[in-house]
Amino acid sequence: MISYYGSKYPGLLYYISLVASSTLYFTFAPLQNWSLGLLVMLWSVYVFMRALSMLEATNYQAPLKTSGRASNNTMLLPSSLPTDLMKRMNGRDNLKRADNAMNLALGGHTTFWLGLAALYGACEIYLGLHNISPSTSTLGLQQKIAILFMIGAAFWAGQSYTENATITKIMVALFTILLLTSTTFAFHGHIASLLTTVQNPEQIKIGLPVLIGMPLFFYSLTMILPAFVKGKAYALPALAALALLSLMALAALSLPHETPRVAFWIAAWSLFSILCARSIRQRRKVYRLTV
Amino acid sequence: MQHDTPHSTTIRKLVLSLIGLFSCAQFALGFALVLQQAPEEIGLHAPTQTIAMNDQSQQNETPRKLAMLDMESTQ
Repeated sequence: MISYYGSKYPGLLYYISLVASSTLYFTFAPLQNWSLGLLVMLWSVYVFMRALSMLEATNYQAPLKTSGRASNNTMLLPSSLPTDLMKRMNGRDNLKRADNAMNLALGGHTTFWLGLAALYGACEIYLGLHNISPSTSTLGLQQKIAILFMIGAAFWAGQSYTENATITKIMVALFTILLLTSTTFAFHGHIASLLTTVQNPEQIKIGLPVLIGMPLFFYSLTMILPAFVKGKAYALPALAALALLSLMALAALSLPHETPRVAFWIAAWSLFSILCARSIRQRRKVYRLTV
Repeated sequence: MQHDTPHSTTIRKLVLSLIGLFSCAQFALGFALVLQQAPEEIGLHAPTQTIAMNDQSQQNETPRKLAMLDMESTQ
């Protein structure tokens, strides 16, 4: 089980490998129901465990804050005093990290984003069920729901690991590589349509799926805009996130619905979640001398 | 840094529970997607093939059994 008592950043490797495998799967492998189902099952197990570990921290952080010494490790088997003390101290540090992770993953911004994403998913399902929009997508309804869940999970969970600067840098580097790979394959053969979109913006036909995705896009934009007045440390990730949003807008307007595009969305939203979280909140250690 | 009030803790627990429930539903969806695929495509033998093989073996055995019965009757 992923637990905050034993791990600093529970599920981090699992998360990174899931994002990498999902992106590479949609880029290179042919879409098949059984492999997609397997991937969704892995994602759902991860999301469930991550939510459970956060719930664990929610339950135990309040007594820790008030008492300042108690730990649930008291329930473990008896050990030598130094080992027990170390265990308690580590557990308490990990729970503090959990508190920060929860502030990032369950803050107002993210919760509202998840609500908008759920609304987008509902609209997409409604359009698919009633055949309102003549979509070029070859994906079935269940496949669409599965893919939307993966994108949402990648966005939600990515934010919770951005407290540590080193881990954030590693994740940004990895996801940038994944994004470049998926972008190359997603835009391959569509450069002409992309250039047409850029050169003749008046000819853009905004379809219904793009229209219902607009609130999500503009809300994502408003999330990063305040960072530009906060200082350089906040503005740099915000600038990268803005460039990424522009690329996503281009992809939404000019690319056809194919599986490389799904890979592009997963990599792009994972990277955006990290950049967005860094542009909203950063934690730094401040050392003060107190008398 | 957010301050933890009982109210915000309750909301957090609620959101986390919703996320957990949603992931359970997605697990079921994933399982359904796995089951939808035809068994031959995954590499498993379909039950129809086994039945066909059994039928063939029974068909092969029938003349042999008849021949044995003939032999017994002649003896």
